[in-house]
This record gives sequence, C-alpha cells and structure tokens, in this order.
Amino acid sequence: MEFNQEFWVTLVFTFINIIVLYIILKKLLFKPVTKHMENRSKKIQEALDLAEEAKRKVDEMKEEYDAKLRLAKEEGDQIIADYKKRADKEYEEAVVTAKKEAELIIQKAKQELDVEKEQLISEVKKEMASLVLNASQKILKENLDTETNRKLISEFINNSKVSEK
Amino acid sequence: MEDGIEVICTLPYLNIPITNVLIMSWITMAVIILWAWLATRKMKLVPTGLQNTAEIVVETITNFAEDIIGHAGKKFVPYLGTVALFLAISNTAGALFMSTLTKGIVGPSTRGIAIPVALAIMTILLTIGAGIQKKGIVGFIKSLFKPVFVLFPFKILEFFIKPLSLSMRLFGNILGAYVLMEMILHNLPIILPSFACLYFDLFDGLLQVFVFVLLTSLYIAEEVEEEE
Repeated sequence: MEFNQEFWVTLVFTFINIIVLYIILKKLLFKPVTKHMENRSKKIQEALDLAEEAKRKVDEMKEEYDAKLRLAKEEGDQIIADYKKRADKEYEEAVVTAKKEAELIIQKAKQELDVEKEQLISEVKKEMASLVLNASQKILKENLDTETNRKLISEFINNSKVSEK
Repeated sequence: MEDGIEVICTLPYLNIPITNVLIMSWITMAVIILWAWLATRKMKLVPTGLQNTAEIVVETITNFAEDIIGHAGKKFVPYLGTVALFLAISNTAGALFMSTLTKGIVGPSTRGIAIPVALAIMTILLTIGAGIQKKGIVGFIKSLFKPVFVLFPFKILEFFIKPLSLSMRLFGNILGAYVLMEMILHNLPIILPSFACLYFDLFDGLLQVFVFVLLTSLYIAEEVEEEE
C-alpha cells in the first residue's frame, strides 16, 4: 500500500463520496426526521396542554356548579324555613281568631240566655199572680175586694225572691 | 500480509484506476441512501417499520452530539451521522465473508488506507472550519497562542497528529481484523470464523465507529466551546 495513483484516486473519490452522501443524507434523512420528531413532540405537547386545559376547565365548571348547587340548596332551605315560619304564624293567628270568635259566640249566647230568662221570669211572675189571684178568689169567695187584693198579691210576688239562676 | 486491494477496472480516457475498496464504498453509500429513502418515504406520526430505525439513528446521534459538543452540536449532526453510518456499514461488511468470492469488493472498505485518511482529513478540516466560524479568523489564530505563547508549535502539530491518529487507528484496526479473518477463514474455515467474526468484524468494527465519531465530536467541541 504505497502512495500510488490508486491511493490518490481513492482518496479524492472518498472526499466526493462523503460530501455527496452528506448532502443526500442531510436532505433525505436528518432534516426530515428531525423536523418530524420535533413536530411530533410539539403535537404531543399541544395535546397534553389541551388535556390540561380541558381538565382545568372541567374543574372550574365543577366548582362553579358546586357553588351554584350549594346556593340553590341554601335558598331552598331558606324558602322552606320562611314558609314554615309563615305557616306557624298563620296557624297561631287562626287559633287566636277562632278563640276570639268562640268567646264572642259564647258571650252572645249568654246574653241571649239572660234576656230570655228575664222574659221568662216576668212571664212566670205574671202567670203566678193571676194563678194566685184565682186561687185566693176561690178560697175567699168575694171576701176581699178584687182590686186591693190584686195589688197586695203583686207586691208580695215582687218582694218575694225568685232565684235568678 | 495481503490487504486484498485490487484495481477492478480503469476508467476509459482518463486512465483512472478504480479499486474494489472504492466500489465497496459506493455500494455502502447506495445501501445507506436506499435505507434512508425507504425509511423516510412516508413518515407517520406513529412510527412503524423502517421509520423506527431512522428515528433511532437520528435521535442517538443528535443526543450524542449534544452531550459532547453542547447546544451547538445540532449543526454537526448530519456530518457525524454520515460518517457514523458510512463507517458502520463499511467496518462490519467483513462479517459477510464474501471477500474471496467477490474479488474483495464485499469486505470492509476501510481496510484501504485512502478512505480512513480521507475521513480524518475531512474531520480536521471541519474542526478548523468550526473554530473559524465560532471565533472568526483572527480569533482562531489568536486561540492558537492562547494559554501560553510557547504552545503555538504544538497546536499546529495537533492539526497533523489528530487526523493521523484518527486514520491510523481506524485503518490499523480494520486491516488487522480483515487480515486475521482472512487467515482464520483460510486455515480453519469451520466454526471458529463465526465466533472470531463476532469480535473482529462486528464488535471491533462498531467500536471503531464509536471511537471515530466520539473523537471527531470531541475535537469539534474543543474548538466550539472555548469561550471565556
């Protein structure tokens, strides 16, 4: 392997070979593959970012809904409590009115009763007076003056106490 | 000692001799280009088949270059990859045992000294080029005197020692493996060649690829990263 013509020819051809191979591989292999892999990395990163973003959004929404739900529940509770209070109040009022009315009715009834009693008493008095008069007349047989006797008996009856109750 | 290099034919008119080693390097190129073309023809987002191999090669060399040279290493990936692929096919071609059948065409083409020398010269030119591109021509010349003025001759000497050691290491290893394998194949062509081939052709061949690419990137890193 002396440095003869073959050596120099091979040397020069190898220079050319390697340069050609370099250019072809750079165009055919290294650039597209590197670019492809970078694109893929970017795509994966984008997809991951997107997923992260979506997850964040979902979390946010969930929180929002939770808050809304809590608010609705609170509102519902409030409404129920309000109605309960109102119902209680109305119930109380109704009871009070009913009591009042009942008392009124009772009072009225009592008054009416009183009036009737009075009437009854006066009627009874009258009846009694005539009854007693008749009886006395029959017993005395005109011994007594009718007019004076009637007065006498009336007085007697009026003075005699008739129990009120 | 027979290195098996022969002139297969001569180009007419110009009287240029074409050796079997040169033809093998063209075959190597053809194989690499065919592979690269097939692997990157229809690239898909989810890699299948040959695309996987292309991605493995590109990613490995990219990581390798960035580990050693640093961020500027991306620029040198195509050159390092070209050399690595070329050497990987060339050095391990001996494993095909076809030297004697094909007039030595199918065999490790790096056993001829011309190809390692050419690669080493290109590497050192690239190294100097990278240094000039990084520091400018004045800065590059200044950097030759950098630590101490006295080191200047040694720095100049380095530009000859580096390619010399690169090419001689590669050439010596591959030629040695080739000659040994030829001897083994000649004297004991059963069983032993299989095991010897694993070491001499595959292991040593790929080791030399690694060493060559590692040293190339170390030289480039030396030039590119010196900035204080």
